[in-house]
Amino acid sequence: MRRIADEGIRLLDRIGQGELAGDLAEELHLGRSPAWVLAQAMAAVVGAAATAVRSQPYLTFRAVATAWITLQIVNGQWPFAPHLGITGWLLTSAGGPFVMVTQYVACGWVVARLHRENPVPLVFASAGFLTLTNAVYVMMRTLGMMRFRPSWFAVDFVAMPIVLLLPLVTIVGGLWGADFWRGGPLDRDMKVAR
Amino acid sequence: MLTDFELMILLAILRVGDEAYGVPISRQIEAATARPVTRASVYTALDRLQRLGLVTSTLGQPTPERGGRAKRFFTVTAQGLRAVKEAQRAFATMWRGLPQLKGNLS
Repeated sequence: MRRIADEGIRLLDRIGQGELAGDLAEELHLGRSPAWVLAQAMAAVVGAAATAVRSQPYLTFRAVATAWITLQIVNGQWPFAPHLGITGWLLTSAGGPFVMVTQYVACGWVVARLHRENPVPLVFASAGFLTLTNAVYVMMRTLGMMRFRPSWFAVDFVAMPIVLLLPLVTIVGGLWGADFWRGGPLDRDMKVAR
Repeated sequence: MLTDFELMILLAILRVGDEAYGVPISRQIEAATARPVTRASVYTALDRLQRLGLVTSTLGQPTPERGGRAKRFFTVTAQGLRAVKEAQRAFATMWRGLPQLKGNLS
């Protein structure tokens, strides 16, 4: 948990909130729990994503559209795959879950690569959008199941939360695309400061 | 016009004095209100106060317990002090003469 909290703090450095990152590192040092620190860091990143959405609506729209189009392409929806029947075969195979996770990771990676100036908030905004679209899908499917196939509802009851959580791996792909684990210019600055 | 939270932050900076940076400011507010304070919201408010010219900030030295990151110290400007006094006057006017507020809290 401590390591995840450290990663959360590092994420704040990458979105230009070095002072807040320092405060959270100090709070951790003074005995705050890693879970508390991680929650504070995530609140700050979500806040930064919300600010990015408000202050850069065009860029946010572009990032969200990029994520959605990428998902359609890697999902085999566009432009040829429906004719080849690849999607159904892949997703119902044993490697289906792995394929789905990879699709969302790819979305985040592409968004981060195409928005080099401010990747992290835009990746979070894209993940939020994909969660929202999945939530609409889950809601409509659940209503349909309850109406027409009540006996299948139990299966969906297990599967649908996974569908809702799946876009979170977009963030992992986004951080990968933003070279978060490799160390960007900010990380180099921090090492000099230490 | 200051929000309640911004007013709290200005008062916390005045209370902490020369060592006013994110951690003691947040802790002052938490102690006064007995409620948790989101650290990001403190910096959002501080940014706004700085844009309005009510506080200024200076960067301190990097420290090891902060992972080599520097502290940003905040000071209330003369304009900020005026804004606090105006808020105090407005609150005092609103408070005065209310029979419901007479007596102790307990």
